[in-house]
Amino acid sequence: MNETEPELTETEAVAQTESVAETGTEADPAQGPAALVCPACASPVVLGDLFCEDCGASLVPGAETPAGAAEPTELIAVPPVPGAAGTCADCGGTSFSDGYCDQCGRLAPDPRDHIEQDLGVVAGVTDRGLRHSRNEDAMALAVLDGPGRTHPASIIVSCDGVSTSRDPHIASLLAAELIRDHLAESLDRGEAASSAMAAALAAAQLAVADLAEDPEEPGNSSCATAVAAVVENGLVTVGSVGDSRVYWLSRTTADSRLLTTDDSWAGMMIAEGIMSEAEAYRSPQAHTIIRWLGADAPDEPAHVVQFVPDGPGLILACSDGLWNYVPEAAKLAELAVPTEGGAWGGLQAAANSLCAVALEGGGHDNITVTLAAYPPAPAAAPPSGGPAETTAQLQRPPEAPAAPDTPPEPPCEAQSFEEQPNVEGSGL
Amino acid sequence: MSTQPQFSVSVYQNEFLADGASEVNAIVTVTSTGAPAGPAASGVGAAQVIMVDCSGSMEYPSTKMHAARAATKAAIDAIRDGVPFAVVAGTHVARMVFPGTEYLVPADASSRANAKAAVDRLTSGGGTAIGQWLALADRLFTGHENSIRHAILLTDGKDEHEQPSDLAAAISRCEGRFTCDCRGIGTDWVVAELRKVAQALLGTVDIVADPSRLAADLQSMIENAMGKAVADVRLRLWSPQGASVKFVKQVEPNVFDLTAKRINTGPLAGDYPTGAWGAESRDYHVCVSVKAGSVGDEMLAGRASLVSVDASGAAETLGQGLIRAVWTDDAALSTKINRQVAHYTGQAELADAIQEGLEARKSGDLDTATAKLGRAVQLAAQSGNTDTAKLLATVVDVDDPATGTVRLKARVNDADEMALDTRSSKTVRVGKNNPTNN
Repeated sequence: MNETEPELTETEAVAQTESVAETGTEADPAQGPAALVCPACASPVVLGDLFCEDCGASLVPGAETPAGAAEPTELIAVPPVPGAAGTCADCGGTSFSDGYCDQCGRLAPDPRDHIEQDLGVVAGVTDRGLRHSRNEDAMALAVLDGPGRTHPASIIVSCDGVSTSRDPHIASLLAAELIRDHLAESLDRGEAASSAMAAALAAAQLAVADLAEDPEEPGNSSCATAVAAVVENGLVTVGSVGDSRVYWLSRTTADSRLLTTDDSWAGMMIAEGIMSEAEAYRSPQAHTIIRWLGADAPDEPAHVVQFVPDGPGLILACSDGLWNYVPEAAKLAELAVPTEGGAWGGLQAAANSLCAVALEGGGHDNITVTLAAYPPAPAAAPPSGGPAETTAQLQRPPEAPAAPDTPPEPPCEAQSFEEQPNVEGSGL
Repeated sequence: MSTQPQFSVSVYQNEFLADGASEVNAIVTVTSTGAPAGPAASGVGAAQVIMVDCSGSMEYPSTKMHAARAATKAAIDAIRDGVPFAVVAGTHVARMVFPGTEYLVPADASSRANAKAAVDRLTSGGGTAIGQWLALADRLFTGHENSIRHAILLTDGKDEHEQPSDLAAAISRCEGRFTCDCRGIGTDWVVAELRKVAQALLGTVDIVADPSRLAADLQSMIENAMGKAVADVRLRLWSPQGASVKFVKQVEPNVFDLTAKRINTGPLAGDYPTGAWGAESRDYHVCVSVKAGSVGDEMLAGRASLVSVDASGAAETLGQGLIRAVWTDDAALSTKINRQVAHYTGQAELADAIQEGLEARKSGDLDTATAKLGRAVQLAAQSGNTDTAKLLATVVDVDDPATGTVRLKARVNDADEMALDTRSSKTVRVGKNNPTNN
């Protein structure tokens, strides 16, 4: 159909679909001429999905490429590195039924137990941790760059399923991928990041609320937190619902800071000035979240803030499985950001080392760490060392009607960090 | 074979265990629905044997023999057309009443009329050797292994014309061969003896104190047996390497310990016989001890399947449920006791308390009897088991059911005591108005 995607081979492409940017309609792969289906159950799947939402089958490389996807106009390659599958960690057994080892009964290894994903200028890791039986966190990454694109952007999303709710692992994955896809499509259409962020979080709220409630326990429906960041040259747009966090990790570590406000009891106490941070987090209900995605969520728009970095650094979007161990921005920056002349293994290694800190601290919760380099374009070279190859691109097809060189509109609906000098509410 | 009933298996448990804990408890509820109306409709054959006590004591009073004849005739009328059947007279030996020789005759108008005529000619005389009766029933069912085999045993007396070991040997030979519902007439029979027969042969035991009610009782037993659509259903339990099954008990409609009935079917699996099934629901309490995991681990502690096994030994899975274990450091999760598990643990204790209390009362240990029966009154009140509470009130005067404060009645009607004993294992379900899961 066209001559794009030079860096991608067919086998790297996991999910492919017609560009929705051309029609401006809602993404609905079932209606596209080249509908994407799960190779296992033939249910429709969405661009960039790691797992089928119906049957849970992995859509990672190795799975058969759907026959209908022969003529892609857009690609997102998703090369996650799942934990070793197929062998029981407890007894070494290799046969499983109903999701458990046939010999010792241990839970079969789940690809979501540990996933790493390195897209060059963004990278992430999500890990089960040491104290939970499954990983209810999810992440989604995208890089919007390519021929004809003058405004590279990257997207990182981290979601944390609320463990007392129904099927939190489904809610988190649904939310993460939906927010990522929604943002990518909006930005591709030339929409401003701030309004794209608000719309993506609103769409995720509707989708998670739409998940069925537990038939055995009416009222128990799925819930998740979400944080997302769109990183563009000169502007970082952050959205959050719940107590996952986004940090700015500066090359000048002391300038690093938290960009989100926790939607938790402790966060509320601190924001209202009722308690100090130390006092608030000593309270047993400190981590009770007061906002979330899902049914019965408070009917308020998500927080959207914008931030203008004053130099190179990293944007971190993480679940509380990380920040419970290292809440301080400067400390996180020390662990992740390369120092002058120091050895730096790249973004994936940085994400892994943050994850390792949480595991060494006890790994009490699922851990998700997603990092985006600032500035976002590979040409601008990430802090130092430089990541490996760019493995994915969201590319605009040549015939796309939306002009590829439309600059981002000035953010208009963003809240601002008025008290912070380097955060701007509008204008570029 | 045409349509089978649909089996559904639900598991009720608190899967969360504290660090280091290893005991997993679950209530497995099995419900079969949509059963075609009985063996004929489902394509599975049925076979029926009726054993009537004709010992000399049946004439004292003569209303017993009269009631037994009437009840047997009512039972014959309830046998469905085409179902092979026979009637056996039991004394110190077993003898064919109908037909004259040892085989089963398909029920039709003429065979029923001949059988009823033979029953009318029954007289009493002789002793009681129940083992002999069971052995004859077993021979009669030979060749009917693919059918749902059901027997009724009616007696009024103690098994005194053979050694207890003879009876035990006969029972064990019949295990898995047919199911047997037992009824005692009057108060001269021994509850423990008939309970052994009924439990081994997956049947029920009850007292028919009033002979006039016997016909209706036998008729309903036959109708119940004719309603069965699947023969030889087993609860197959898989448990992981290193685990041990502490017990498997049927807990609804009555308490029935199946633990010792396990037949291993593989290194990690074993079958517990549950007999034949119609459209009905039964609950099982499964307790498995597993290798303790650490916080964050999840394990399958058991897979409970319902399998039907045909005469060739081929098994078909009818439904299954998973029993899980998840280790957590959240005490709020791990200390929660599942309502179903708690309820049936109480119902099993209730049955034990009654049987132990009555035993103590018989042996003159009045303190133990008062304590046990008091505890039974308390458990019956707590769980809403009003039928058992009423039966208990015939044996003790209840001062306060909440604390289980009771006084033994000075004079107790034998029939009341035996009714309490035989029905002590009858359970009730968790209150339907509040059917929560965990």
